[in-house]
Amino acid sequence: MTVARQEARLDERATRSARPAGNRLAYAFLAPLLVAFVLFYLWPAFNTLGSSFFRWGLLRPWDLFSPSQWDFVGIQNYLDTLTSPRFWNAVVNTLIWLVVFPVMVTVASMFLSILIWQVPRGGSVLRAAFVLPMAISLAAAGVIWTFMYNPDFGVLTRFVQWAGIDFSIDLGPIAFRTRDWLSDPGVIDLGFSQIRLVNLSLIVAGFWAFTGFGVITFTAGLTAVPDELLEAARVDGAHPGQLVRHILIPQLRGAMIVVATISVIFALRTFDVVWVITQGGPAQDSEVLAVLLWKQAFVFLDSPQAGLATAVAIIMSAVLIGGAWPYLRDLTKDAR
Amino acid sequence: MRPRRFTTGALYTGLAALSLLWLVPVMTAFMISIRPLDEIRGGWWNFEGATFTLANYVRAWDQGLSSFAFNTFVISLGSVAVTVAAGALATYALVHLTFRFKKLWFFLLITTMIVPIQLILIPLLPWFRTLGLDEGAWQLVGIVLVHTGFGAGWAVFMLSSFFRQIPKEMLEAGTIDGAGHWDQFRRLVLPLAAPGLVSFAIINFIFVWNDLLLALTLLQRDYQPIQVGLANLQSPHLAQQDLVSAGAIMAILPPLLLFASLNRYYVRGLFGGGTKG
Amino acid sequence: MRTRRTIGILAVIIAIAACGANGTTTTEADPAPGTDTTPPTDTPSPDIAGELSIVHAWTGSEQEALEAVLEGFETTYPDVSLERVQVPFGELTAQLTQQFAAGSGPDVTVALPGLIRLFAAEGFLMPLDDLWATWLADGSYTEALAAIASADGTPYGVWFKGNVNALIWYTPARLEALGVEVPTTWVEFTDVLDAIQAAGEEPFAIGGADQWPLTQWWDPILARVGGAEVFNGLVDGSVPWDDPGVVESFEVFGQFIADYFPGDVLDRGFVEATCARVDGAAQFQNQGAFINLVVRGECDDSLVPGEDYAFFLMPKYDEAAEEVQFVSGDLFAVNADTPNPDAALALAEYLGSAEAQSIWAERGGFVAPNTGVPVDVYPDVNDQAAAALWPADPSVAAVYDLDDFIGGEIQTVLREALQQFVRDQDVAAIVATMVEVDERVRG
Repeated sequence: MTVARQEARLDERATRSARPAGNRLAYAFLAPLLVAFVLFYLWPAFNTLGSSFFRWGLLRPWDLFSPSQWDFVGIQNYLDTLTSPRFWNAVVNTLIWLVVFPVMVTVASMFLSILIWQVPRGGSVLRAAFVLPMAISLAAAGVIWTFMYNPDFGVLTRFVQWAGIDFSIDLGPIAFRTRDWLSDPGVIDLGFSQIRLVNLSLIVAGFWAFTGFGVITFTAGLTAVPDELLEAARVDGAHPGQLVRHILIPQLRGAMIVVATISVIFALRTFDVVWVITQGGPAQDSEVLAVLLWKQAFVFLDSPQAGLATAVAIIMSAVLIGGAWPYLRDLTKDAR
Repeated sequence: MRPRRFTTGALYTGLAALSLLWLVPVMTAFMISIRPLDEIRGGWWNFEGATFTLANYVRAWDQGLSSFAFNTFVISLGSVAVTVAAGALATYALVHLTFRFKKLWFFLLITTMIVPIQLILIPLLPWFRTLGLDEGAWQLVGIVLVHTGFGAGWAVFMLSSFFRQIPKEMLEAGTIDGAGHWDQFRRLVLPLAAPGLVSFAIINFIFVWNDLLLALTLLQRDYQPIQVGLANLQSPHLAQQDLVSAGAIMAILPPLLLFASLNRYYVRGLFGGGTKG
Repeated sequence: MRTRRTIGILAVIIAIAACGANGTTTTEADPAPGTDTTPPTDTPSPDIAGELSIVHAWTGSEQEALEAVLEGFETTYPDVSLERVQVPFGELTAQLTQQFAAGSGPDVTVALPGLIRLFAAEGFLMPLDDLWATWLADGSYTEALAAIASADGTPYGVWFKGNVNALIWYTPARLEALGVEVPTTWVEFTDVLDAIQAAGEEPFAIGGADQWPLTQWWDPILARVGGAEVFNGLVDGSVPWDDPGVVESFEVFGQFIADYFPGDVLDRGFVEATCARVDGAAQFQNQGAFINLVVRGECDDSLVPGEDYAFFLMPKYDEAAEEVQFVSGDLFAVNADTPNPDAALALAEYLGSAEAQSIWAERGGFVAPNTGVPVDVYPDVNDQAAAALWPADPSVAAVYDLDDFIGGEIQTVLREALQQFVRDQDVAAIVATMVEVDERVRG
């Protein structure tokens, strides 16, 4: 803690003592990006932050320059959000995404990359198959997965029938069945909350669309592993399993952090896949935070709730920035 | 010491099976796009008496996709060009120069990766009007700048890891030779970080190409890109799965082409710096 | 070498883009100077001129039909250049709201009654009193239809595309094979359903994965059990959600679900359900008149309306109750701030006219709301039968699709609650949910 603070103070001193000429030069380099960034991101984002303390709706967007129209409610939007069962339902569904999605993406893409790396020839063809879905928009991926889960001509449904694994188990707190993928595939009852498995159906769709990113990143990481390291281990008689465990995986730590971080961000912000496939349903079974705030801002027009939506967004951002803080701090430190 | 033939064979078989499995969803969309709908309802894998047709592609194209194509290229290529150029300049400053508020800027830039864009969009539309970017071709300029603004965080996040890879000694040697930062940036950093720039350009291109929400909200009909045309294929009462699939397949071709042609850079460049951790 | 190939591919992409550029500019140039090239002579209304934008959300064959209608307008008013803007159906409300709020709304737009009421309250829409006075006087529309197009007693909407709901679609041959007749009373209806189940068949295909088909069920039951007054009272807030008529409608619907709904209601979407019934997975589907179009468009275009698929009206729950027709459909509204009000009003008047609506009616899959459209313009017996059910008679009460009429959060919550209701048939829970949201939203 104290070390970190000392470092921060040192940074500060270094920055403050930067020569004005250096400042001017640096800002000349920064200017083009910052113009677009400030005008088209920072300013509207600042508006959004401000608007979260007011009651307003899409029919009458909150406007910084019309104070006569303001309906100031202080932190009421935040209080209402944090006490709303609908919000906590969305939190649970988002948490399912946050826990399952990054793990699936990271583990699967790491092992795929390593396996493809072992192949003497044709690796790029195999890799292409996994990377291909990245070129598809998430909305289109959602449509495609509704085909997959279709109860009549869906591949998955037909596979279940063909393989004869059409079953349904109900163990009280845990229920699961191999059909109704997008409505009621099952539930895990934790007592205080329910984990609805329809979220997993959606996560699979997102996983399919996003794993290519992980494959690319890990492959890039593998290219950076020094050949000498592998050679030396081989000479020492390490078998492939040991090679992977003791050399490759430690070397891939950086890539792993990148993939995990980006997929956590993806999971928290996930919208298109859910919106296209279930719109958060059935009922509110798969409603995640981004879907909730979309409904609040763009659908619930009769009860101006855009202020609530912005509050949700700011809570989301705050949690994520808080969670990613150590990583972000590392980045800023390196950026020196 | 190569892996034994047996393991290699097993590896190939396993990976080939997996990759085929991975392609099933794309295959589904593709088959739906080239076969009549009533055949598909019996399962697309059912080839008995199958008819194949490109009619869905023609219909999807005629139903308006064609008129969106040009805008899409202008917006995508324009946004990528501006984002990469401005992003590279800014990243150079962030990585190699010292200046005031550097951490603050870096932090603010990174938040673009985190904050849900739907909400930034609400104040953006009136703001567009205030700036006069809602008229004629200015809309295209406007949306390019919006994509640049939203892509700023990703640009800095990804490019900085490449720029950091360039050994300090090389840059210092340049400084001693009397080369200014501009010369260094142009002659040294840009060529060395080229793979990184290319991989970011591709990711950015895919992102911009697939954007629906920004385009739909900020652009008038004559300036909208193909994703709007695709979304227009869906109707309340007709699923039009055949047309939607054909449209989706068409819309992935350009990024796919780009992807395949630049595959080498893409794979090598991405996060090269971060992986050394 | 590779780099050169890369550059080559980029060059091709740019070349394609450039070709697109030429194409676009030429096509764009065509309609724009239309006002200049058309002869200024013998225009019927010299005042009606200038540019006009119209927003809609139709695609495919429906878009073509609208196009034919709009061409009719352009023939009558050649000095008006009409810009059509298609918005994705799912994005329509959000886009229109943002545009109107920013002051850049289209001159004329399609809108459901719920949105019309929201926009009218904000002063976004132009009142259409004169238009409606004429229409009511000449009997083109009834008071009930005027009320649906109105907000607080002032008409803001123009009916364009009507639809009749609570139609039970079936395949005549299959019903015949079962040895049952088309039911005309509620008791006969449930008897037929029992007979279908006794024969080991599924009575209904629902499509509850898309939420709105469930409202297609509860709405007519509410209209039949609670009556038009309770129905419209829910819409305007004068009747609470725990009204006995509302509660009873949920009880009837709940029992109906328990008795006759299949197990996978929430797993199938609307189109799958439609085609599944056509394929024989179920005897009936309760849906609107537009099914006539969907069956051929999505399932099997060789089927003959009337012979291969037909419908009967969902019977009355209580024989003594008044006649209530459950309708829905698309309306148009005019921007209050349109720079070209004369042309916009002319377009609104045209869209609500029998002349315009006949153009689409001829093409099928359409019920004309204007009573002046003769039944014989419809292309097949199903469309004709549906058009005959349109509440053209002032004595027939008309209720409009409840959730679309209310809109906003109440609509969303109702749809979600109905999905939950399909699972648990918990009347107390759904009433409590609706009372809560209704009180919160309407204060």
